[in-house]
Amino acid sequence: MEYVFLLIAFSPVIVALVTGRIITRAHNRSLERREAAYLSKMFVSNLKQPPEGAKVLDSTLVIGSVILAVDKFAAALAALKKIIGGRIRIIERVVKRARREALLRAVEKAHQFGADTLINVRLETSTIFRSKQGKGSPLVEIVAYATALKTEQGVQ
Amino acid sequence: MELSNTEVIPGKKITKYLGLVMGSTVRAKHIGRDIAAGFKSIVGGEIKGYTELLQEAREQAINRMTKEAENLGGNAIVNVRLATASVMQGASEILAYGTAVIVE
Repeated sequence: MEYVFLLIAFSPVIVALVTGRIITRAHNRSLERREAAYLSKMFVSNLKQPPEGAKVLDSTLVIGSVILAVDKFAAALAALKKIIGGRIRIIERVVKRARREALLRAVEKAHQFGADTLINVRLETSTIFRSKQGKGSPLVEIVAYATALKTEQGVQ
Repeated sequence: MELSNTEVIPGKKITKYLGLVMGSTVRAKHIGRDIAAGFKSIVGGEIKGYTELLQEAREQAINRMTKEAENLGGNAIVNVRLATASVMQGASEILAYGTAVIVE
C-alpha cells in the first residue's frame, strides 16, 4: 500500500522524466532549424556602434523574450545536486536553451524588419512572479534586445 | 518614433537632447494562466501564457515611454533599457527608459 502512495507522490517526477526529454529534444531541433535559417544570415554583435564602413539605411529596436519552466525531474535532480554543490548541468542546459530562444526571437523580428545586422545585443535574466521564499518550480526568464540595422551592402 | 538601444540612431544625426523618459507597468498573473503554468512546470517547456503576458506588458511600458517623448516634442529615443522587477508576490513591474532626442 505504501508503494502506491510513493508512486503517486513521485508521479510528477516520473512523468517529467519522459516529457522533459521529449520537449527538450523538440525544442533543440526547432532551435537548430531556425538558427540555420535566420542566425546564419545575420551579423550579431554587442558593438555599441554600427561596424565600420557600414552604411545604415534604417534601424529599429527588437525584443525577444521567453519563459521556460524547468521540469519536475530536472528540478528534483537539481535539488539533490544542491546538497553536494558544484555544476548543475541540467539547469545549465535549460538556461542555455532559453537564451538561444530569446536571442533567436529577436533575430527573427529583425529579419521581418529586413535587417542584416544586430548591434548592442543585451541579454537579461529577469525574475518575475517569483515568491520571496523562492518556492515553486524554477522558471527561467530571458529577455534579449538589440538594435537592428538595415545596411546598404550588409556586413560580411 | 524611432527607438534604439545604442547611444545614437544609427545613420542619423541627433539635433537636440530632450532628457530622460520612462514608462512602466505592473502586471499580475491570473488564475487561468496559473493552471496552465502549473501543468507546464511539471512537464517542462515554455510557458507561453507568461511570455505573452510579459510581451504585452513590455509593449505597454514602451508605449508609455514613447508618449512621454512625444509630449517633450521628440521623434526618437536612444539608449533604451528594459528592466523587470518583482515588486510583490505574483506581480512584476516592467520598466522601459531612455533618452528622448530629436533627429533630423
